Amino acid sequence: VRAIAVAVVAVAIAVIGQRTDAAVLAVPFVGAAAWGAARRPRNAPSAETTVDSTTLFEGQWTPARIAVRPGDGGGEVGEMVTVVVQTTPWLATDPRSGAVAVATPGGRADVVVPVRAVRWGRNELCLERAVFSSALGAHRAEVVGHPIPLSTLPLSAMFDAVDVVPRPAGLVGLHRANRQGSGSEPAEVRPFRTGDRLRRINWKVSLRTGALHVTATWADRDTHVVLLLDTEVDLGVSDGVDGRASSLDITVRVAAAIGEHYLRTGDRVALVDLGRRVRGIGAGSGRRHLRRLLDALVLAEPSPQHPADNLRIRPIEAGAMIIALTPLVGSAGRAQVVSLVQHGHTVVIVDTMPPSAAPTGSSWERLAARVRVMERQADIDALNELGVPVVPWRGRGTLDEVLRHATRAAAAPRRR
Amino acid sequence: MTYLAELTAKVRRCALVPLLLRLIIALALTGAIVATAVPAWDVPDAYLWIAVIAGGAGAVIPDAGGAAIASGAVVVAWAVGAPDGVGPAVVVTALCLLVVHVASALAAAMPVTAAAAEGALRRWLRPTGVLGGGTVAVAVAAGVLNRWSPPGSVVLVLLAVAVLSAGVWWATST
Repeated sequence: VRAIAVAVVAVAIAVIGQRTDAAVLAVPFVGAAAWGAARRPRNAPSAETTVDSTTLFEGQWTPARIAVRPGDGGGEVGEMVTVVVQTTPWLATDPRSGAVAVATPGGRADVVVPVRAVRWGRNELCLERAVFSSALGAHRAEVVGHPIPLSTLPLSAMFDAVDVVPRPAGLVGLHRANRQGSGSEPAEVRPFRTGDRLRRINWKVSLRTGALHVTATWADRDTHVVLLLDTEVDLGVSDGVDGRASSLDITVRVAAAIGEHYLRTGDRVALVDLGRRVRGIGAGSGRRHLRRLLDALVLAEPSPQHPADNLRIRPIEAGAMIIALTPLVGSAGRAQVVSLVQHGHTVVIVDTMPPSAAPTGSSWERLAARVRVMERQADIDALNELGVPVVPWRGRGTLDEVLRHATRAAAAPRRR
Repeated sequence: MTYLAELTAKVRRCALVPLLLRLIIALALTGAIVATAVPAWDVPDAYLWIAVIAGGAGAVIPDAGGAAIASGAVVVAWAVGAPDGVGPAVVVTALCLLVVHVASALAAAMPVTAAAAEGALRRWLRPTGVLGGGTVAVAVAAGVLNRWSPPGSVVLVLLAVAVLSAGVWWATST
Protein backbone atom coordinates (compact mmCIF):
# COMPACT_ATOMS: atom_id res chain seq x y z
CA VAL A 1 0.00 0.00 0.00
CA ARG A 2 2.84 2.36 0.91
CA ALA A 3 4.65 1.69 -2.38
CA ILE A 4 1.50 2.16 -4.48
CA ALA A 5 0.42 5.34 -2.65
CA VAL A 6 3.78 7.08 -2.97
CA ALA A 7 4.21 5.84 -6.55
CA VAL A 8 0.80 7.25 -7.54
CA VAL A 9 1.62 10.63 -5.96
CA ALA A 10 5.05 10.81 -7.61
CA VAL A 11 3.83 9.68 -11.04
CA ALA A 12 0.91 12.12 -10.91
CA ILE A 13 3.28 14.99 -10.09
CA ALA A 14 5.64 13.86 -12.87
CA VAL A 15 2.87 13.74 -15.48
CA ILE A 16 0.92 16.82 -14.44
CA GLY A 17 3.94 18.99 -13.67
CA GLN A 18 6.16 17.48 -16.38
CA ARG A 19 8.81 16.78 -13.73
CA THR A 20 11.49 14.25 -14.53
CA ASP A 21 12.84 14.40 -10.96
CA ALA A 22 9.45 13.26 -9.61
CA ALA A 23 9.51 10.42 -12.12
CA VAL A 24 12.92 9.35 -10.79
CA LEU A 25 11.57 9.50 -7.23
CA ALA A 26 8.68 7.25 -8.33
CA VAL A 27 11.01 4.55 -9.66
CA PRO A 28 11.75 2.69 -6.36
CA PHE A 29 8.08 2.63 -5.38
CA VAL A 30 6.82 1.57 -8.81
CA GLY A 31 9.50 -1.13 -8.85
CA ALA A 32 8.65 -2.30 -5.32
CA ALA A 33 4.93 -2.46 -6.15
CA ALA A 34 5.64 -4.39 -9.35
CA TRP A 35 8.01 -6.79 -7.55
CA GLY A 36 5.50 -7.37 -4.78
CA ALA A 37 2.69 -8.04 -7.25
CA ALA A 38 4.86 -10.42 -9.25
CA ARG A 39 5.84 -12.46 -6.17
CA ARG A 40 2.38 -12.54 -4.69
CA PRO A 41 1.87 -15.77 -2.68
CA ARG A 42 -0.61 -18.14 -4.31
CA ASN A 43 -1.47 -20.32 -1.34
CA ALA A 44 -2.53 -20.00 2.24
CA PRO A 45 0.35 -21.25 4.38
CA SER A 46 0.14 -23.49 7.43
CA ALA A 47 2.18 -23.72 10.61
CA GLU A 48 2.17 -26.76 12.88
CA THR A 49 3.65 -26.62 16.39
CA THR A 50 4.97 -29.62 18.27
CA VAL A 51 7.15 -30.09 21.35
CA ASP A 52 9.50 -32.99 21.93
CA SER A 53 8.30 -33.56 25.48
CA THR A 54 5.13 -32.37 27.16
CA THR A 55 6.36 -33.42 30.61
CA LEU A 56 9.45 -31.66 31.89
CA PHE A 57 11.39 -31.35 35.10
CA GLU A 58 12.22 -27.96 36.54
CA GLY A 59 15.13 -26.42 34.65
CA GLN A 60 14.78 -28.79 31.70
CA TRP A 61 14.78 -27.55 28.10
CA THR A 62 12.69 -28.88 25.25
CA PRO A 63 12.53 -27.61 21.68
CA ALA A 64 9.23 -26.27 20.33
CA ARG A 65 9.25 -27.04 16.61
CA ILE A 66 7.17 -24.98 14.23
CA ALA A 67 6.87 -26.55 10.79
CA VAL A 68 5.92 -23.99 8.14
CA ARG A 69 4.46 -25.54 5.02
CA PRO A 70 2.74 -24.24 1.88
CA GLY A 71 -0.98 -24.89 1.46
CA ASP A 72 -2.57 -27.56 -0.68
CA GLY A 73 -1.37 -26.08 -3.97
CA GLY A 74 2.28 -25.96 -2.87
CA GLY A 75 4.63 -23.18 -3.99
CA GLU A 76 5.77 -20.00 -2.32
CA VAL A 77 4.06 -18.76 0.82
CA GLY A 78 6.29 -15.72 1.25
CA GLU A 79 9.90 -14.70 1.59
CA MET A 80 9.99 -14.70 5.34
CA VAL A 81 8.02 -15.95 8.32
CA THR A 82 8.08 -14.52 11.82
CA VAL A 83 6.86 -16.95 14.47
CA VAL A 84 5.90 -15.74 17.91
CA VAL A 85 5.66 -18.42 20.59
CA GLN A 86 3.71 -17.37 23.65
CA THR A 87 4.04 -19.17 26.95
CA THR A 88 2.63 -18.96 30.44
CA PRO A 89 4.96 -17.14 32.89
CA TRP A 90 6.82 -20.19 34.19
CA LEU A 91 8.13 -21.20 30.80
CA ALA A 92 11.07 -19.35 29.29
CA THR A 93 12.00 -19.24 25.62
CA ASP A 94 15.20 -18.49 23.79
CA PRO A 95 14.99 -15.72 22.61
CA ARG A 96 13.10 -14.44 25.61
CA SER A 97 10.36 -12.91 23.45
CA GLY A 98 9.75 -16.23 21.70
CA ALA A 99 9.83 -14.37 18.35
CA VAL A 100 12.04 -15.63 15.54
CA ALA A 101 12.17 -14.47 11.92
CA VAL A 102 13.49 -16.88 9.30
CA ALA A 103 13.53 -17.20 5.52
CA THR A 104 11.13 -19.63 3.86
CA PRO A 105 12.96 -21.00 0.81
CA GLY A 106 10.52 -23.05 -1.25
CA GLY A 107 7.72 -22.07 1.08
CA ARG A 108 9.09 -24.35 3.84
CA ALA A 109 10.83 -23.64 7.09
CA ASP A 110 11.42 -25.48 10.34
CA VAL A 111 11.75 -23.07 13.21
CA VAL A 112 13.03 -24.30 16.57
CA VAL A 113 12.35 -22.24 19.69
CA PRO A 114 13.93 -23.79 22.81
CA VAL A 115 11.59 -23.72 25.81
CA ARG A 116 12.69 -24.11 29.43
CA ALA A 117 10.51 -25.06 32.38
CA VAL A 118 11.34 -22.55 35.09
CA ARG A 119 8.93 -23.64 37.81
CA TRP A 120 6.77 -26.66 38.57
CA GLY A 121 3.11 -26.56 37.61
CA ARG A 122 0.78 -26.75 34.65
CA ASN A 123 1.82 -24.49 31.79
CA GLU A 124 0.81 -23.78 28.24
CA LEU A 125 2.72 -23.05 25.10
CA CYS A 126 1.04 -21.60 22.04
CA LEU A 127 1.99 -20.37 18.60
CA GLU A 128 0.62 -16.87 19.10
CA ARG A 129 1.05 -16.08 15.42
CA ALA A 130 3.13 -16.90 12.39
CA VAL A 131 3.32 -13.88 10.07
CA PHE A 132 4.26 -14.64 6.49
CA SER A 133 5.67 -11.72 4.48
CA SER A 134 6.04 -11.79 0.72
CA ALA A 135 8.79 -10.05 -1.23
CA LEU A 136 9.38 -6.49 0.05
CA GLY A 137 6.51 -6.87 2.48
CA ALA A 138 3.84 -6.44 -0.20
CA HIS A 139 1.57 -9.16 1.18
CA ARG A 140 1.14 -10.63 4.62
CA ALA A 141 -0.69 -13.65 5.98
CA GLU A 142 -1.11 -14.69 9.58
CA VAL A 143 -1.63 -18.13 11.11
CA VAL A 144 -2.38 -18.82 14.77
CA GLY A 145 -1.82 -22.07 16.64
CA HIS A 146 -3.50 -24.09 19.36
CA PRO A 147 -2.29 -24.18 22.97
CA ILE A 148 -0.14 -27.15 23.95
CA PRO A 149 -0.30 -28.11 27.65
CA LEU A 150 3.03 -28.75 29.36
CA SER A 151 3.46 -30.25 32.79
CA THR A 152 6.52 -29.35 34.85
CA LEU A 153 7.30 -31.86 37.57
CA PRO A 154 8.80 -30.50 40.81
CA LEU A 155 11.68 -32.92 41.12
CA SER A 156 14.53 -30.46 41.66
CA ALA A 157 15.23 -30.78 45.40
CA MET A 158 17.72 -33.45 46.53
CA PHE A 159 16.84 -35.60 49.50
CA ASP A 160 18.41 -38.54 51.24
CA ALA A 161 17.83 -39.96 54.70
CA VAL A 162 19.26 -42.55 57.05
CA ASP A 163 17.78 -46.00 56.82
CA VAL A 164 15.77 -45.80 60.02
CA VAL A 165 12.06 -45.31 60.37
CA PRO A 166 10.11 -45.32 63.64
CA ARG A 167 7.71 -48.19 63.00
CA PRO A 168 8.56 -50.35 60.01
CA ALA A 169 5.75 -52.69 59.00
CA GLY A 170 4.54 -54.64 56.01
CA LEU A 171 6.16 -57.63 54.39
CA VAL A 172 8.94 -56.35 52.14
CA GLY A 173 11.19 -53.33 52.11
CA LEU A 174 14.62 -52.05 52.89
CA HIS A 175 14.21 -50.80 56.47
CA ARG A 176 15.45 -52.82 59.41
CA ALA A 177 12.50 -54.00 61.51
CA ASN A 178 12.47 -53.98 65.29
CA ARG A 179 12.27 -57.77 65.37
CA GLN A 180 14.35 -60.57 63.97
CA GLY A 181 13.35 -62.39 60.85
CA SER A 182 14.28 -62.88 57.23
CA GLY A 183 16.56 -60.05 56.22
CA SER A 184 20.10 -59.07 55.37
CA GLU A 185 21.42 -57.22 58.43
CA PRO A 186 22.96 -59.59 61.05
CA ALA A 187 21.40 -59.35 64.52
CA GLU A 188 23.10 -62.04 66.61
CA VAL A 189 24.53 -65.58 66.62
CA ARG A 190 22.33 -67.87 68.69
CA PRO A 191 21.75 -71.61 69.16
CA PHE A 192 19.78 -73.42 66.49
CA ARG A 193 16.04 -73.68 67.10
CA THR A 194 13.42 -75.71 65.35
CA GLY A 195 12.28 -73.87 62.26
CA ASP A 196 15.60 -72.16 61.54
CA ARG A 197 16.72 -72.47 57.94
CA LEU A 198 19.75 -74.67 57.33
CA ARG A 199 21.50 -72.03 55.24
CA ARG A 200 21.53 -69.75 58.28
CA ILE A 201 23.79 -72.13 60.24
CA ASN A 202 27.04 -70.46 61.25
CA TRP A 203 29.47 -73.38 60.78
CA LYS A 204 32.51 -71.68 62.34
CA VAL A 205 30.74 -71.00 65.62
CA SER A 206 29.02 -74.42 65.52
CA LEU A 207 32.37 -76.23 65.19
CA ARG A 208 34.01 -74.14 67.91
CA THR A 209 31.18 -74.60 70.40
CA GLY A 210 30.17 -78.14 69.43
CA ALA A 211 26.49 -77.15 69.06
CA LEU A 212 24.60 -75.84 66.04
CA HIS A 213 24.40 -72.05 65.92
CA VAL A 214 22.68 -69.79 63.38
CA THR A 215 23.23 -66.19 62.36
CA ALA A 216 19.99 -64.36 63.05
CA THR A 217 19.11 -61.25 61.02
CA TRP A 218 16.83 -58.30 61.47
CA ALA A 219 13.74 -58.50 59.31
CA ASP A 220 13.50 -56.10 56.34
CA ARG A 221 10.28 -54.15 56.31
CA ASP A 222 8.81 -51.19 54.55
CA THR A 223 7.02 -48.27 56.08
CA HIS A 224 4.04 -46.10 55.36
CA VAL A 225 4.97 -42.44 54.83
CA VAL A 226 2.24 -39.81 54.73
CA LEU A 227 3.15 -36.42 53.28
CA LEU A 228 0.95 -33.76 54.81
CA LEU A 229 1.01 -30.60 52.70
CA ASP A 230 -0.03 -27.22 54.05
CA THR A 231 -0.80 -25.26 50.87
CA GLU A 232 -3.25 -22.86 52.44
CA VAL A 233 -0.94 -19.87 51.90
CA ASP A 234 2.09 -19.11 49.75
CA LEU A 235 4.65 -16.92 51.49
CA GLY A 236 7.73 -15.29 50.03
CA VAL A 237 8.80 -14.72 46.47
CA SER A 238 9.04 -17.34 43.76
CA ASP A 239 11.68 -16.80 41.09
CA GLY A 240 11.58 -20.27 39.62
CA VAL A 241 14.19 -22.99 39.81
CA ASP A 242 17.15 -20.60 39.60
CA GLY A 243 16.02 -18.00 42.11
CA ARG A 244 14.24 -17.55 45.39
CA ALA A 245 11.68 -20.12 46.48
CA SER A 246 8.35 -19.37 48.13
CA SER A 247 6.89 -21.51 50.89
CA LEU A 248 4.73 -23.35 48.36
CA ASP A 249 7.77 -23.99 46.16
CA ILE A 250 9.63 -25.50 49.10
CA THR A 251 6.58 -27.52 50.15
CA VAL A 252 6.01 -29.01 46.72
CA ARG A 253 9.68 -29.66 45.93
CA VAL A 254 10.33 -31.21 49.32
CA ALA A 255 7.23 -33.40 49.05
CA ALA A 256 8.41 -34.59 45.64
CA ALA A 257 11.95 -35.26 46.88
CA ILE A 258 10.87 -37.11 50.03
CA GLY A 259 8.26 -39.06 48.10
CA GLU A 260 10.80 -40.06 45.48
CA HIS A 261 13.30 -41.14 48.15
CA TYR A 262 10.91 -43.39 50.05
CA LEU A 263 9.30 -44.82 46.93
CA ARG A 264 12.76 -45.68 45.63
CA THR A 265 13.43 -47.65 48.80
CA GLY A 266 10.22 -49.63 48.38
CA ASP A 267 8.04 -47.84 50.92
CA ARG A 268 4.45 -46.82 50.58
CA VAL A 269 3.78 -43.08 50.29
CA ALA A 270 0.47 -41.24 50.62
CA LEU A 271 -0.32 -37.56 50.15
CA VAL A 272 -2.77 -35.36 52.06
CA ASP A 273 -3.23 -31.69 51.20
CA LEU A 274 -4.64 -29.35 53.80
CA GLY A 275 -5.28 -26.73 51.08
CA ARG A 276 -7.31 -29.28 49.16
CA ARG A 277 -6.16 -28.10 45.74
CA VAL A 278 -4.06 -31.22 45.40
CA ARG A 279 -6.26 -34.27 45.38
CA GLY A 280 -5.31 -36.73 48.09
CA ILE A 281 -3.26 -39.70 46.97
CA GLY A 282 -3.67 -43.00 48.76
CA ALA A 283 -0.73 -45.09 49.87
CA GLY A 284 1.13 -46.83 47.09
CA SER A 285 4.58 -47.76 45.94
CA GLY A 286 6.62 -48.02 42.79
CA ARG A 287 7.54 -45.76 39.90
CA ARG A 288 3.99 -45.39 38.67
CA HIS A 289 2.94 -44.17 42.09
CA LEU A 290 5.76 -41.61 42.04
CA ARG A 291 4.42 -40.29 38.74
CA ARG A 292 0.91 -40.14 40.25
CA LEU A 293 2.33 -38.20 43.18
CA LEU A 294 4.20 -35.71 40.98
CA ASP A 295 1.20 -35.21 38.71
CA ALA A 296 -0.88 -34.34 41.75
CA LEU A 297 1.74 -31.99 43.17
CA VAL A 298 1.86 -29.80 40.04
CA LEU A 299 -1.71 -28.74 40.82
CA ALA A 300 -0.76 -27.17 44.15
CA GLU A 301 -1.96 -23.61 44.58
CA PRO A 302 -2.57 -21.44 47.61
CA SER A 303 -6.20 -21.83 48.61
CA PRO A 304 -7.06 -19.52 51.49
CA GLN A 305 -10.78 -19.99 50.75
CA HIS A 306 -10.54 -23.58 51.97
CA PRO A 307 -9.61 -23.34 55.68
CA ALA A 308 -7.63 -26.38 56.70
CA ASP A 309 -9.41 -26.37 60.09
CA ASN A 310 -12.49 -27.84 58.43
CA LEU A 311 -10.65 -30.63 56.65
CA ARG A 312 -11.23 -34.09 58.06
CA ILE A 313 -8.25 -36.26 57.29
CA ARG A 314 -9.10 -39.87 56.54
CA PRO A 315 -7.90 -42.32 59.19
CA ILE A 316 -4.23 -43.06 58.68
CA GLU A 317 -2.80 -46.53 59.14
CA ALA A 318 -1.35 -47.08 62.59
CA GLY A 319 2.43 -46.83 62.68
CA ALA A 320 2.62 -44.57 59.66
CA MET A 321 5.29 -41.88 59.64
CA ILE A 322 3.75 -38.50 58.90
CA ILE A 323 5.94 -35.78 57.46
CA ALA A 324 4.11 -32.46 57.61
CA LEU A 325 5.35 -29.73 55.27
CA THR A 326 4.11 -26.42 56.59
CA PRO A 327 5.33 -22.83 56.99
CA LEU A 328 3.66 -22.89 60.43
CA VAL A 329 1.58 -19.81 59.78
CA GLY A 330 -1.95 -19.87 61.10
CA SER A 331 -3.38 -22.41 63.43
CA ALA A 332 -4.78 -24.88 60.90
CA GLY A 333 -1.64 -26.85 60.12
CA ARG A 334 -0.67 -26.98 63.79
CA ALA A 335 -4.14 -28.12 64.83
CA GLN A 336 -4.09 -30.99 62.34
CA VAL A 337 -0.63 -32.04 63.50
CA VAL A 338 -1.70 -32.00 67.15
CA SER A 339 -4.73 -34.10 66.26
CA LEU A 340 -2.56 -36.68 64.49
CA VAL A 341 -0.10 -36.85 67.40
CA GLN A 342 -2.99 -37.39 69.79
CA HIS A 343 -4.03 -40.35 67.61
CA GLY A 344 -0.64 -41.91 68.25
CA HIS A 345 1.10 -41.18 64.96
CA THR A 346 4.74 -40.23 64.60
CA VAL A 347 4.80 -36.74 63.08
CA VAL A 348 7.82 -34.82 61.84
CA ILE A 349 7.41 -31.23 60.69
CA VAL A 350 9.56 -29.74 57.94
CA ASP A 351 9.40 -25.96 58.28
CA THR A 352 8.92 -24.51 54.79
CA MET A 353 9.05 -20.83 55.73
CA PRO A 354 11.45 -19.25 53.19
CA PRO A 355 13.99 -16.53 54.08
CA SER A 356 12.47 -14.31 51.36
CA ALA A 357 9.25 -14.04 53.40
CA ALA A 358 10.75 -11.38 55.69
CA PRO A 359 8.81 -8.12 55.21
CA THR A 360 10.65 -5.04 53.99
CA GLY A 361 7.80 -2.53 54.21
CA SER A 362 6.99 0.15 56.76
CA SER A 363 8.09 0.06 60.38
CA TRP A 364 4.58 -1.07 61.37
CA GLU A 365 4.78 -4.02 58.98
CA ARG A 366 8.18 -4.98 60.38
CA LEU A 367 6.82 -4.71 63.91
CA ALA A 368 3.83 -6.88 63.03
CA ALA A 369 6.18 -9.38 61.44
CA ARG A 370 8.29 -9.51 64.62
CA VAL A 371 5.18 -10.22 66.66
CA ARG A 372 4.22 -12.96 64.21
CA VAL A 373 7.71 -14.47 64.38
CA MET A 374 7.43 -14.62 68.18
CA GLU A 375 4.01 -16.26 67.94
CA ARG A 376 5.40 -18.75 65.45
CA GLN A 377 8.31 -19.58 67.74
CA ALA A 378 5.81 -20.16 70.57
CA ASP A 379 3.93 -22.58 68.28
CA ILE A 380 7.16 -24.42 67.46
CA ASP A 381 8.04 -24.68 71.17
CA ALA A 382 4.57 -26.04 71.93
CA LEU A 383 4.94 -28.67 69.20
CA ASN A 384 8.39 -29.64 70.51
CA GLU A 385 6.93 -30.11 73.98
CA LEU A 386 4.35 -32.38 72.40
CA GLY A 387 7.18 -34.49 70.96
CA VAL A 388 6.91 -33.20 67.39
CA PRO A 389 10.29 -32.20 65.98
CA VAL A 390 10.34 -29.14 63.70
CA VAL A 391 13.25 -28.95 61.27
CA PRO A 392 13.95 -26.41 58.57
CA TRP A 393 14.56 -27.79 55.09
CA ARG A 394 18.29 -28.22 54.47
CA GLY A 395 18.27 -30.71 51.61
CA ARG A 396 19.99 -34.08 52.03
CA GLY A 397 19.96 -35.38 55.57
CA THR A 398 17.34 -32.94 56.81
CA LEU A 399 15.41 -35.70 58.57
CA ASP A 400 18.34 -37.89 59.73
CA GLU A 401 18.54 -36.61 63.30
CA VAL A 402 14.79 -36.48 63.89
CA LEU A 403 14.29 -39.95 62.38
CA ARG A 404 16.90 -41.45 64.70
CA HIS A 405 15.26 -39.70 67.63
CA ALA A 406 11.76 -40.81 66.59
CA THR A 407 12.95 -44.41 66.14
CA ARG A 408 14.46 -44.43 69.63
CA ALA A 409 11.24 -42.94 71.02
CA ALA A 410 9.11 -45.53 69.22
CA ALA A 411 11.24 -48.39 70.56
CA ALA A 412 11.05 -47.13 74.14
CA PRO A 413 8.43 -48.58 76.49
CA ARG A 414 5.23 -46.53 76.60
CA ARG A 415 3.89 -44.85 79.70
CA ARG A 416 0.17 -45.03 80.23
CA MET B 1 12.51 6.38 38.26
CA THR B 2 10.12 3.45 37.93
CA TYR B 3 9.03 4.61 34.48
CA LEU B 4 12.68 4.99 33.47
CA ALA B 5 13.45 1.52 34.79
CA GLU B 6 10.51 0.07 32.85
CA LEU B 7 11.61 1.87 29.70
CA THR B 8 15.16 0.59 30.14
CA ALA B 9 13.87 -2.93 30.66
CA LYS B 10 11.77 -2.67 27.48
CA VAL B 11 14.73 -1.41 25.47
CA ARG B 12 16.92 -4.19 26.84
CA ARG B 13 14.37 -6.75 25.67
CA CYS B 14 14.66 -5.45 22.10
CA ALA B 15 16.62 -7.56 19.65
CA LEU B 16 19.52 -6.23 17.62
CA VAL B 17 18.14 -6.60 14.09
CA PRO B 18 14.80 -4.78 14.65
CA LEU B 19 16.68 -1.96 16.39
CA LEU B 20 19.16 -1.73 13.53
CA LEU B 21 16.27 -1.62 11.05
CA ARG B 22 14.73 1.30 12.95
CA LEU B 23 18.09 3.04 12.95
CA ILE B 24 18.37 2.47 9.19
CA ILE B 25 14.86 3.95 8.67
CA ALA B 26 15.83 7.03 10.69
CA LEU B 27 19.17 7.47 8.91
CA ALA B 28 17.70 6.96 5.43
CA LEU B 29 14.89 9.41 6.14
CA THR B 30 17.43 11.91 7.42
CA GLY B 31 19.41 11.39 4.23
CA ALA B 32 16.31 11.95 2.08
CA ILE B 33 15.34 15.11 3.97
CA VAL B 34 18.88 16.51 3.92
CA ALA B 35 19.24 15.75 0.20
CA THR B 36 15.92 17.55 -0.35
CA ALA B 37 16.67 20.55 1.86
CA VAL B 38 20.41 21.21 1.52
CA PRO B 39 20.53 22.33 -2.13
CA ALA B 40 20.00 26.04 -2.51
CA TRP B 41 16.45 25.95 -3.85
CA ASP B 42 13.54 27.00 -1.73
CA VAL B 43 11.76 23.96 -0.28
CA PRO B 44 8.84 24.85 2.01
CA ASP B 45 9.73 23.96 5.61
CA ALA B 46 6.23 22.62 6.35
CA TYR B 47 6.72 19.55 4.12
CA LEU B 48 10.07 18.80 5.69
CA TRP B 49 8.64 19.13 9.20
CA ILE B 50 5.84 16.73 8.23
CA ALA B 51 8.49 14.35 6.90
CA VAL B 52 10.53 14.65 10.12
CA ILE B 53 7.56 14.03 12.45
CA ALA B 54 6.01 11.26 10.37
CA GLY B 55 9.44 9.74 9.81
CA GLY B 56 10.10 9.72 13.56
CA ALA B 57 6.82 7.92 14.14
CA GLY B 58 7.62 5.55 11.27
CA ALA B 59 11.00 4.68 12.76
CA VAL B 60 9.46 3.84 16.13
CA ILE B 61 6.35 2.07 14.78
CA PRO B 62 7.20 0.92 11.25
CA ASP B 63 3.74 -0.46 10.43
CA ALA B 64 1.83 2.69 11.45
CA GLY B 65 2.08 4.51 8.12
CA GLY B 66 4.62 7.10 9.25
CA ALA B 67 7.13 6.08 6.61
CA ALA B 68 4.51 6.41 3.85
CA ILE B 69 3.54 9.93 4.94
CA ALA B 70 7.19 10.95 5.26
CA SER B 71 8.03 9.57 1.80
CA GLY B 72 4.99 11.35 0.32
CA ALA B 73 5.99 14.61 2.02
CA VAL B 74 9.52 14.39 0.58
CA VAL B 75 8.15 13.76 -2.94
CA VAL B 76 5.74 16.71 -2.62
CA ALA B 77 8.57 18.88 -1.26
CA TRP B 78 10.56 18.10 -4.42
CA ALA B 79 7.57 18.94 -6.56
CA VAL B 80 6.80 22.32 -4.99
CA GLY B 81 10.27 23.51 -4.04
CA ALA B 82 12.90 22.20 -6.39
CA PRO B 83 13.53 23.16 -9.99
CA ASP B 84 13.05 20.54 -12.67
CA GLY B 85 16.05 18.46 -13.56
CA VAL B 86 17.85 15.31 -12.51
CA GLY B 87 20.99 15.65 -10.41
CA PRO B 88 22.82 13.71 -7.69
CA ALA B 89 20.44 15.05 -5.01
CA VAL B 90 17.37 13.44 -6.57
CA VAL B 91 19.21 10.12 -6.99
CA VAL B 92 20.30 10.19 -3.33
CA THR B 93 16.76 11.06 -2.25
CA ALA B 94 15.25 8.26 -4.35
CA LEU B 95 17.73 5.71 -3.00
CA CYS B 96 17.12 6.87 0.58
CA LEU B 97 13.35 6.54 0.07
CA LEU B 98 13.90 3.04 -1.32
CA VAL B 99 15.88 2.08 1.80
CA VAL B 100 13.16 3.61 4.02
CA HIS B 101 10.51 1.58 2.21
CA VAL B 102 12.36 -1.75 2.40
CA ALA B 103 13.53 -1.29 6.00
CA SER B 104 10.01 -0.27 7.09
CA ALA B 105 8.49 -3.33 5.39
CA LEU B 106 11.06 -5.60 7.00
CA ALA B 107 10.75 -4.02 10.44
CA ALA B 108 6.95 -4.18 10.26
CA ALA B 109 7.12 -7.92 9.54
CA MET B 110 8.58 -8.77 12.96
CA PRO B 111 8.17 -7.62 16.54
CA VAL B 112 10.93 -5.49 18.01
CA THR B 113 12.01 -8.40 20.21
CA ALA B 114 12.36 -10.93 17.38
CA ALA B 115 15.62 -12.68 16.65
CA ALA B 116 16.05 -12.50 12.87
CA ALA B 117 18.03 -15.09 10.96
CA GLU B 118 20.64 -13.89 8.48
CA GLY B 119 19.03 -15.80 5.62
CA ALA B 120 15.78 -13.88 6.04
CA LEU B 121 17.60 -10.56 5.67
CA ARG B 122 19.67 -11.73 2.71
CA ARG B 123 16.51 -12.51 0.72
CA TRP B 124 15.54 -8.85 0.86
CA LEU B 125 18.92 -7.59 -0.34
CA ARG B 126 18.51 -8.81 -3.95
CA PRO B 127 15.27 -6.92 -4.74
CA THR B 128 16.62 -3.86 -2.96
CA GLY B 129 19.80 -3.97 -5.04
CA VAL B 130 17.87 -4.49 -8.28
CA LEU B 131 15.51 -1.58 -7.53
CA GLY B 132 18.44 0.65 -6.48
CA GLY B 133 20.27 -0.16 -9.70
CA GLY B 134 17.11 0.46 -11.72
CA THR B 135 16.64 3.82 -10.00
CA VAL B 136 20.16 4.93 -10.87
CA ALA B 137 19.72 3.70 -14.45
CA VAL B 138 16.44 5.58 -14.84
CA ALA B 139 18.01 8.71 -13.31
CA VAL B 140 20.93 8.53 -15.77
CA ALA B 141 18.52 8.05 -18.67
CA ALA B 142 16.40 10.95 -17.47
CA GLY B 143 19.49 13.17 -17.15
CA VAL B 144 20.59 12.29 -20.70
CA LEU B 145 17.10 12.96 -22.00
CA ASN B 146 16.97 16.27 -20.14
CA ARG B 147 20.21 17.42 -21.78
CA TRP B 148 19.08 16.18 -25.19
CA SER B 149 15.69 17.70 -24.43
CA PRO B 150 13.56 16.06 -27.09
CA PRO B 151 9.87 16.90 -27.11
CA GLY B 152 7.92 14.67 -24.73
CA SER B 153 10.90 13.71 -22.55
CA VAL B 154 8.67 13.14 -19.51
CA VAL B 155 6.73 10.62 -21.50
CA LEU B 156 10.01 8.93 -22.33
CA VAL B 157 10.97 8.80 -18.65
CA LEU B 158 7.60 7.35 -17.74
CA LEU B 159 8.04 4.89 -20.56
CA ALA B 160 11.37 3.92 -19.03
CA VAL B 161 9.64 3.42 -15.67
CA ALA B 162 7.04 1.22 -17.35
CA VAL B 163 9.79 -0.79 -19.09
CA LEU B 164 11.56 -1.18 -15.73
CA SER B 165 8.37 -2.40 -14.07
CA ALA B 166 7.71 -4.85 -16.88
CA GLY B 167 11.31 -6.04 -16.64
CA VAL B 168 11.02 -6.59 -12.89
CA TRP B 169 7.75 -8.42 -13.39
CA TRP B 170 9.29 -10.66 -16.01
CA ALA B 171 12.45 -11.26 -13.96
CA THR B 172 10.55 -12.28 -10.86
CA SER B 173 7.85 -14.37 -12.52
CA THR B 174 10.21 -16.57 -14.55
